[in-house]
Amino acid sequence: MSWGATLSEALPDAVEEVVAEGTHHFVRVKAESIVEAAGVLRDKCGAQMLHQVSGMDFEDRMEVVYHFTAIEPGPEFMCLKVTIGRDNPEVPTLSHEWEAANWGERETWDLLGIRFSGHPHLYRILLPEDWEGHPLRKDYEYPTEYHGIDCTE
Amino acid sequence: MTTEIQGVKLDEAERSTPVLPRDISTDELVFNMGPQHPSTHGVLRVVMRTDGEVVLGCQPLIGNLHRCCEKILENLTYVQGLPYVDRMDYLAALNMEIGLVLAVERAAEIEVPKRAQYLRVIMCELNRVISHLFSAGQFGLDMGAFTPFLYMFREREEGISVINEVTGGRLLYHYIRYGGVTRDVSKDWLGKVLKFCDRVESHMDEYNNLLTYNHIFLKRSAGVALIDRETCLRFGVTGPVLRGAGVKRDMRKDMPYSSYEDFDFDLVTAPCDEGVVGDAWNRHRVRLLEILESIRIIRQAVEKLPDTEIAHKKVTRGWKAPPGEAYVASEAPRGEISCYFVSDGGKFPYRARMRGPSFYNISVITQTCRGLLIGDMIALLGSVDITLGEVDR
Repeated sequence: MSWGATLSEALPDAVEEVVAEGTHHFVRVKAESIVEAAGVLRDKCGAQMLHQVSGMDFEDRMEVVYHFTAIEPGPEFMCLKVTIGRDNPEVPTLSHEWEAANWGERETWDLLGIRFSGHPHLYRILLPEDWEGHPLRKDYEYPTEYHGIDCTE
Repeated sequence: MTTEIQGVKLDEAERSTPVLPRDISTDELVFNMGPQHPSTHGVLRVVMRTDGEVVLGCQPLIGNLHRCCEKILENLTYVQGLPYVDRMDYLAALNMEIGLVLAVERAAEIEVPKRAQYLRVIMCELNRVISHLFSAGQFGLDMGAFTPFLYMFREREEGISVINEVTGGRLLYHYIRYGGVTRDVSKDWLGKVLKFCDRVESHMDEYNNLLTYNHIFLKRSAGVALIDRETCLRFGVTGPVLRGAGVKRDMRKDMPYSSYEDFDFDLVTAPCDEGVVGDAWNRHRVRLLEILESIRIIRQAVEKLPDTEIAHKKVTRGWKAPPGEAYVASEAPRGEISCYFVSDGGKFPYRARMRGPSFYNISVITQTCRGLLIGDMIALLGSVDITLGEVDR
């Protein structure tokens, strides 16, 4: 994976970990440098599309995982990971450079409660606006009722 | 090509420019399309801001079918969770199954027997054929052509019966399992598959005469609702919409999975014999041409079907994946389905993040709608071809 080396060369202070073995290759970067790191992938490694934004809850920390993809020539996936604390998780938004991040980040906020600073429209997207909690968190408590509808059965 | 509308000659290019001339400005009107509108293909609500007939902007409000598939997967064992992904894109359920299964198999490093891989290919391509027949017919229906819809459903029914015979389901199959497939097929059934392929192929001219090159259909879709290459890339749009914009991208070719590298087929991009690259008509045309490519793949797979086992021996009822993670994308009829799968070695998957291609495909309408007529919004929604079950997951 040449893009991992390119990334650690371009941003030596931001890269925390490069994993180039096993079933999933990724580069872990500092949360505050995610916009720069994505820019390096676009300008130097040929990333053309943001494929997926995933949020992860590991009970002691949270992660946001971005999968970029190059299309032509040489299609491949490039993965950036960001680790953040669980109490007040916040990551800078990518939605100004990558339009796909707009909805991807809204979904991550909706289901995991990770805030994206600078996002133009950070509202719930799948759940109703008055829903309480973020369901994909591991300590999520299931509601017992919603607007008079019994949810316990 | 010049068109005459009410005595005024309009260039085809001018007709497709984003902002139409507005000599009479009326009050801006905000209204809902859906959630029960027939052309939204499900429960989608689009709030539109309009000036007369011209759409100034829109916001799709999604989530009516949300059931948090990812949370369900985290709370069920591996085998129990699999049928739930079928419900994401209920028109192409086998392609959804393979999306999850491939990621889990990559993370657990399971080698799938060759026969199972070929059976997966046959099933997924059959599912692609019936899904594209549905989409093309539905798009015609949106454009006011009722008859082709019925003709395509005739063939789709037969395709469903063929899959039904092996899987036992008409729409939701639960056929692909971790490490292989559930049931083997007979020689007799393979004959039926080939007969179905011949039948669809022989009706392709009929579809084209009735719908694709129909004058009214051409006027309503050619040069309308342009989504160009750059917009597709920015919004994460994949599948026939991206190929309709002229981009050569197909996971079956680019990162072959499940033995797709064994088959000889072409990657279809906008043919552009009518209209312009990236318009609604070319997206429709790409789908019809992809049906023919799928039939080519099915014929080769049936011919070369190897005689091995159909499932990995070690994957049994209480099977669980070892700790690990993987990200695999595969080509579903509506775009790239991918799964980011993480296992901690426990009984349940730790996280299975599914990418619904329609989720990203529909986000593009917020930009493309600007300057379209309300009638052309229907062409846009119909040609982007979303399944709400997969948008909302």
